[in-house]
Amino acid sequence: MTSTTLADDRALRLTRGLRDLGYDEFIGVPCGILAPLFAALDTDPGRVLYAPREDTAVAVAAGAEMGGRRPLVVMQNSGLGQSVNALASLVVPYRLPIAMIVSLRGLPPDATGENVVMGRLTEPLLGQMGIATRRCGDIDDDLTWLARVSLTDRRPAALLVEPAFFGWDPAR
Amino acid sequence: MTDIDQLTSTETLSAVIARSGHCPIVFTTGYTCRRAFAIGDAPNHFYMVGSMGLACAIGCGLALARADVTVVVVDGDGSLLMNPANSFFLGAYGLDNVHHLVLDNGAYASTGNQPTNSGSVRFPVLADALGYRDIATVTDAGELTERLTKINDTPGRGAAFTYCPVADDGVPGGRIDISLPDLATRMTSWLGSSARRP
Repeated sequence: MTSTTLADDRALRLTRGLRDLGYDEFIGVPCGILAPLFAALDTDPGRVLYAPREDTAVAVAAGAEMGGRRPLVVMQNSGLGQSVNALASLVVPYRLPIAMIVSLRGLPPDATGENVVMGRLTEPLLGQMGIATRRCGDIDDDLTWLARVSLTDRRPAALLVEPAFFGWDPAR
Repeated sequence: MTDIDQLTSTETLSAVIARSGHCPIVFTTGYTCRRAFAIGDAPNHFYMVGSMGLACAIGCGLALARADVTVVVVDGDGSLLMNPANSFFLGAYGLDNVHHLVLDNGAYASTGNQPTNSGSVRFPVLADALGYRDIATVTDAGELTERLTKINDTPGRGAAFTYCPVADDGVPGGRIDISLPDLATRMTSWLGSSARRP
């Protein structure tokens, strides 16, 4: 299997798994690392609602959650910086069990200077806010973890995606 | 801000609360939340005590979840200017069941009345550019009540923007004493049981 089809296969399996868990409103801001996932999420029957800023995406998800939907936020970790106040003063203190998929730009093989600081900060930042994290590896296990934290325990959760997981290539 | 006939924040919020009992209402942070709570708490009130700038985004999420109700968002000039990107989202996806009211007092009241410089912004023009369908400037209580009735009672008639220049009227009562998780869960419960068409 080439890396492209492996990436697409992972993205499709993750998308199907998320839909099977009942996530029904995908709100995101794009990221190159997550491009195959966005492509899979954008296929019928779902679609992604693209927000202009990540904190907007988080707050839309907060409203949808209170309205009885099961939203999931997809973003780049640079946008996690943009979202800190929405998470720290809305999602966490109001105990909204928002699920997120966040890329890990700035981790190897991504050595871009504008991303390495946020790459270093992403896990400690989420941890200090009290948001559970897990790096994507085995998709079935990742989905089981997300279901337990976000749906059973009803806590916010972030699945983190390393640069190469969906085949991201720094040369492209 | 010294116009003797100008609506006050309290008069405006009282009219909104009185005519939105069947709608979820998101109140922006600071004195707007506290004044609304002091006027009269109800389970359809969501007090966004932090996350300044995001009231309309929360309203958009509620509107996505519940197309059958009009979601009322009570914003301020400072909080709208902090993040007009929320309204861009609303326009981009054609959310037609949001009634966004902006109470413009020209100041960040709760932090000591520093100026927002909102006088340089033509809010109705901004609203038009962002995709609201029904836009009005309201300066008296009767007009406001009539407009609230028209928009709140007909979900899906198109995103509405109501601009309310207001005179500030001092420090509201105490802080909101309901726990934040309880504010979220009571909104979910209320939407599940009581939100309705009038």
